[in-house]
Amino acid sequence: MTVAIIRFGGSNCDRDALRALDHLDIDAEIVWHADGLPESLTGIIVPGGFSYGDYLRAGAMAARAPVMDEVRAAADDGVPVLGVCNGAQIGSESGLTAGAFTTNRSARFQCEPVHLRIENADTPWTAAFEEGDVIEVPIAHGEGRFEITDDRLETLNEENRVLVRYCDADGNVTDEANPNGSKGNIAGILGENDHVAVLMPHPERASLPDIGSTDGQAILEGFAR
Amino acid sequence: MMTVTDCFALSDDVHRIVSAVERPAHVRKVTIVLTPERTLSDMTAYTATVTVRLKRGVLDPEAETTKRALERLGFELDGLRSTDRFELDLDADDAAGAESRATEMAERLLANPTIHDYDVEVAEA
Repeated sequence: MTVAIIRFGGSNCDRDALRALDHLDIDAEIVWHADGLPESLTGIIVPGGFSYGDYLRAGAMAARAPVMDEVRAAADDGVPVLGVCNGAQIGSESGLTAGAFTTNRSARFQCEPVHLRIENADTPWTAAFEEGDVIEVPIAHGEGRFEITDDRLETLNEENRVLVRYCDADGNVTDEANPNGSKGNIAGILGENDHVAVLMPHPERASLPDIGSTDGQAILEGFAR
Repeated sequence: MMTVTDCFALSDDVHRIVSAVERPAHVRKVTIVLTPERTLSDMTAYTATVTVRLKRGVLDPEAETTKRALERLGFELDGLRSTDRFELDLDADDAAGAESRATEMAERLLANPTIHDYDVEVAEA
């Protein structure tokens, strides 16, 4: 029983995710995408990086890799799935979650700590928090601006599918606190079910005490819930 | 015996037909007869051009940056939009067949319907 961390050519946060889960005593292994998923799964991480060199659009190629059919099937069976950064782009490109992540408003790659407001605390990923809690986790992306049609955004909000929004240190969701121009300051959303989530910030980079913030731990502990 | 997998070597049309055949559990194989009229050599070569652009109203920071760079060079312009253009060489029975396949490719990969519009033009190669 293990969490599968799917490695594509160009993934580069797979080992970070493994190290973070090891630290949390959550059994995990890196799985090469072409080898398919292991039989008994406790979860799936689609990690960050630059799968397929971001050809066409970030995540577009990996989203059409055969392993993503297995990910969809596992998600339908109730296996928790977390897409981080490039994994979030792959998740939205593959239809696991709504919307799209595209070029930052700044047109630059941005690597910096951000504050996130917990919008829905009733999920495996956010069960350790209360709605409105603020956490600090880094972002590292050039294409993280969340875009979605207005009517689908309304549905996301109505159905409480927004997981986290960019905010300031006090939890105010403002344009100044929006690092990349994401619609509604959205940094992470849920799929059709609460056990499927994607987010641009990196919880695995905020999980080891020696490095700094450990606010990401509680999100990864979703795999142990 | 030909399996569906074998058909990948044949044209997309044949593969589509084989995939669409309902095979009852007691039927062990399905035989497909290819008539000479349906061979590849009778098809026409087309180039389908798929142009993918951001929907109006979706911010394009790279285009904005490019526009500012042009202005720094002394050019005057009111707007700049960038597009991705894909040229697909394919064989089909007719232009409509080529267009429908290129359209499907745009829908499934070349464009992201959340942020993109696209158009398809077909010409004989």
